[in-house]
Amino acid sequence: MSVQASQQVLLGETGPGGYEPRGLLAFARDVARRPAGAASAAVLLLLVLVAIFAPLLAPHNPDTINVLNTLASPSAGHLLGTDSLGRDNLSRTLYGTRLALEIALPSVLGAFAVGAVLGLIAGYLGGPLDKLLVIVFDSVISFPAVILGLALLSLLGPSVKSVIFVIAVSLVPYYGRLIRAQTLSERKNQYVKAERSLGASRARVLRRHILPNVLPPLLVIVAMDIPSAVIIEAGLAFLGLGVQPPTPDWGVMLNDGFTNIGTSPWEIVGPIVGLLVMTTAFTLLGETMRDVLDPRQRLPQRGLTGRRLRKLDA
Amino acid sequence: MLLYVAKRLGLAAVVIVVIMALLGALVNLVPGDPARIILGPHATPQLIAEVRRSMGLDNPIYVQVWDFMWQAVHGNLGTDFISKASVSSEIGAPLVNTLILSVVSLVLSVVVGVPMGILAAVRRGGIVDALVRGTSVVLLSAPSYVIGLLLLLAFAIDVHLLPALGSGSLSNLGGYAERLIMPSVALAAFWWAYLARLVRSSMLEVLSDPFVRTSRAYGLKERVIRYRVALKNALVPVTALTGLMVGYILAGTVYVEVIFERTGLGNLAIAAIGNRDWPVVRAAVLIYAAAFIVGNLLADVAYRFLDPRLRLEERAEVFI
Repeated sequence: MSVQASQQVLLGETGPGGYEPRGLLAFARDVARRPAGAASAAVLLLLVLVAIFAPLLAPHNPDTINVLNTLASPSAGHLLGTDSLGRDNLSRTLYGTRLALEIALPSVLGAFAVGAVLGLIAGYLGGPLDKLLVIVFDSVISFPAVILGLALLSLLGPSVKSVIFVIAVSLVPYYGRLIRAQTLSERKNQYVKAERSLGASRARVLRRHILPNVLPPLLVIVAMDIPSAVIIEAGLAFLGLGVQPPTPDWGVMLNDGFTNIGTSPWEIVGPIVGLLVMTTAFTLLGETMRDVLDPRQRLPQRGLTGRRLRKLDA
Repeated sequence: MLLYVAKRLGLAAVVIVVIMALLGALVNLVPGDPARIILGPHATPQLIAEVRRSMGLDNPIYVQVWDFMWQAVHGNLGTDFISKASVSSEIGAPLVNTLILSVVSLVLSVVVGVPMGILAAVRRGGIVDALVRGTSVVLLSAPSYVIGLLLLLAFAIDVHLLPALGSGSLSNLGGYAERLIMPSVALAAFWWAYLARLVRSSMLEVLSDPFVRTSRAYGLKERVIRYRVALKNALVPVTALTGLMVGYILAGTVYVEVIFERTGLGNLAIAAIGNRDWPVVRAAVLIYAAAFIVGNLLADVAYRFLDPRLRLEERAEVFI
């Protein structure tokens, strides 16, 4: 499908290779040496710290209701005002950082693990199993994440677990297809044939040779998918399908703030700034990593990968 | 080419069948009794039994799947739990609104994004170039619902520049078009940044190709080189992206319809979930997926058609 075609266009013929691997530390150093890389990494570190130390940083308890001071504008006591139940917007925004990462990280990593296994199997074994998996991937890809959310969350009921599940399911076929394509091209290499003729089992070839070759460039893509997962999580909550009130979550805040947008626009300020800062930092970090991996492809055209795009379908 | 189109059509048909089967079986695949989930915790046993019967849940799964697919092929998408009307008749008008919004957003993305990319490439270091390079990272990271909410705040809450709510009616074209402005901008902004970047870099790449130098040596006018030679080549990757644009924009319409309170498939589905009205949800999801598949099919065929190099390979490898 054209998702594939665009992947080819965006990643270039050779895929995001071309970087001599000198270990993760050297890679991290190369990324940090660039101003964009250092700045975005610093911002992300800050966000992680905010998530961990939210209880210490938040000026108020995010769940404390005060019906005498609802929808207040910013003041010394409440820097970002209060919401429809008089809860402190700033504190809820800070706590929201937590949930954004708590849902995005496991869903992307889980999807990557499952997609990697399925993609390796499909690409290496080939045959009818491969065709079946390709059809399944294409079928699931036909549901953009939000649409998949409509279908699954209406039946599963909204909870943190089902939101992680929905995001992961929507990502699996992208990883599966990408890793399958990479495996197909690795499989043709001489050394794979040599290893097989020496009597190595298929499982050994997969684990020892194909996996290590296929994996590193994909880690960049995973980094770039985390912000997409954040966006979907908040989006589902905004639609009322994801995480439910009264949880301090950016999407929940957007939903509540949207209801009262005519009287007080202050509740949506925090989550909007949080979302923009977090996703921009991840995007910038991902782009820097990609530039370091392959200086030839510094043209912005190779910018985002096809897969990242779709997942930004919020 | 014909072989490719045939194979591609075949795959799309298989995928649609698989999707219908999945949606037909989905209520059975999730844990718990779907009738109980749909009716909520306070339902009486009689009511649950009745709903199970009306959902066809007392039949074996393969009968349910077959029934759903057979009916769907004949344009019957089930019966609304709440209103008892046919889902197909309820979905018609909102679907038209959603499709119009999607197509307008798609066109708006290309009509603004591509010229911006051309300008940025032709006048490197100029205003448009600086604008494209300066704003793209933020625009590429901002979700459409955030852009939508910001537009709503900026133009419709305090300053009433644009009508905020509803989708208007097609009998009043002016009002209808006015109400399309903010929603379609919210969906297109991402693609302005994306397409501008893409077109800019691929034009720069093509302009530095040897065949462009040759054309110059032959005395072709710079204008001809830019717009006839370079642009044509630079637009091929844009076609390849159309499939992704379709997915992004279709999903985005759900948010935008909620924010601008438009009548549409997204709002219909959200309301149906609130009412636990599964047949409506299922029909809407099926239509979104079908639209996605058709959009991707067209984009793939167009991409092949426009790039003769791909046709020359003629391996017609659908499975790669």
